[in-house]
Amino acid sequence: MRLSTFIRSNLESILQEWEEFASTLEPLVNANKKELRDHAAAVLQVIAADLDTPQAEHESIAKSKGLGPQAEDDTPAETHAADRVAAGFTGEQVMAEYRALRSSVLRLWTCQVAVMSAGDIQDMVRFNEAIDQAQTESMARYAKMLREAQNLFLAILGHDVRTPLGAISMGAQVLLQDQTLPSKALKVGLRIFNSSKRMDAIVRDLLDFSTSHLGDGIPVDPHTVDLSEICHGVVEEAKTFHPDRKIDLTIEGNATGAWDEARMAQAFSNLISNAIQHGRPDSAIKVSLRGYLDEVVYEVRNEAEVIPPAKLRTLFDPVKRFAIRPPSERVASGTQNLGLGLYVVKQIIAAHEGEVSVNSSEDDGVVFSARLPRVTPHRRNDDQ
Amino acid sequence: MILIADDDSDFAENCSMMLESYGYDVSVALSGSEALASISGRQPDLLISDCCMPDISGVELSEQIKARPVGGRFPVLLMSGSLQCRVASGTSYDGFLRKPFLAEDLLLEVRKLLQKSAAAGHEYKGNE
Repeated sequence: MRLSTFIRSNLESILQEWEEFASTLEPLVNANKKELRDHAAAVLQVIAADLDTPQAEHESIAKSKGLGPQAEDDTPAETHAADRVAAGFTGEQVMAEYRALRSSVLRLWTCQVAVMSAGDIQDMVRFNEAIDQAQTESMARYAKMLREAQNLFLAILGHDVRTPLGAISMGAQVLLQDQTLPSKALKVGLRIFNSSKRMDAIVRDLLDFSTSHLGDGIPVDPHTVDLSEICHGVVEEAKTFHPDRKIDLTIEGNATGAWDEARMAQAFSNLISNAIQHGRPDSAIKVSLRGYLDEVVYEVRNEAEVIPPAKLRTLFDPVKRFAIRPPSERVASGTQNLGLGLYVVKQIIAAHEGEVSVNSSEDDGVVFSARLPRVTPHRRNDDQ
Repeated sequence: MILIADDDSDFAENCSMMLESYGYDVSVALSGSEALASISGRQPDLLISDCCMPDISGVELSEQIKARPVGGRFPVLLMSGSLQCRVASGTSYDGFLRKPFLAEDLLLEVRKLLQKSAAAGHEYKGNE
């Protein structure tokens, strides 16, 4: 009996066996049979129909990689994933369901096949490919739904934090512009204001990190801008908020090109903040912007202890940096900042098709360099 | 008069204090419906409204104000703490600030919109 015929004729017993396994999964312990079966029958019907359809070798290979043809409407496997997200299943549990479905079908079928023919083996291969395709569809939908939910959650969190932050920031600014207050009160007002700005930057970096880390990248909207103006603004702001630090700026050549103004300001500012935070407080921070024929290079240099090569390699990736940290250091990490700013810098520069690098030596100190291609045709929004 | 509509009373009051310190006449509404009631009592020269309020959003307020007959309209400056907040294209509003913002950016927008309002024949009646 062909495997497709077997599936259609024995749907009930296959589902019965699969159901017994699925009911052992934690979220479904108290679920009824109808809930358990929901889309499994539909998935099997689609697979049975697929087994009856002639298939070329390249289609077979594509399907085994989960790259089969995409249906316009939701497939049963995608609908199944959406229901499992709603029921509180983990990704591992959804995978386990498919494992059980594969096992149930093949075990019951092979019991009925005395001697396996070449056609039977071909059927079995195609069944496995079809299950792989269904599993891929389910997991892709599952991941997409979680990603969307996480983005929404973070957006709400960002809004919820920014609202009181706005009140704190505006309150501090009200105090700061009241010159009748004693200097001590004004100093406290300035500290509150600076802290609120830092918190705002952390929230912004955290949201950018989450968005780009989930695969969406940092969105940019490039238009013709002069990076030297942005650079001047960022350095002046840093000097205003850190009057105790010396920040030298050098600008050479033309720095006009197609970039996202707000994002470039964020990247420039993050690199200066990093130098302020990690550089020697008594040494100058040297910022430079140099325009060349094809690119503009932004550089921030500060004196600091030499960064070990292993740490340099993970400096732009906070997750890896934390992952490779020995357990003894992780406790101490709880009191350090996440260092999301450098990750965000890398993402912003990458979104503009540029590169950022870091070097550290006793002679040169720590040097961050961002190389930005001046013009990329498809980024010239202004010219369209 | 400048009307500030925001369900976060701390933010609204601090904004109000900031604008008052620059000589503006400011009134505060802590919800969209409170803002509408205030507008029907005394028409402001400018509305500064949070985008997201539980009853009537700033975007809805702006739409209502822009749909009023000439003479009953005035500039609307929207604010939001959400990075994702993009006011739908086609929505009528005159300015946007993302919270938290600098007082100087607020003052810049306020001056610009009141000038725009005055240029349109709707003389600002504040006391700056």
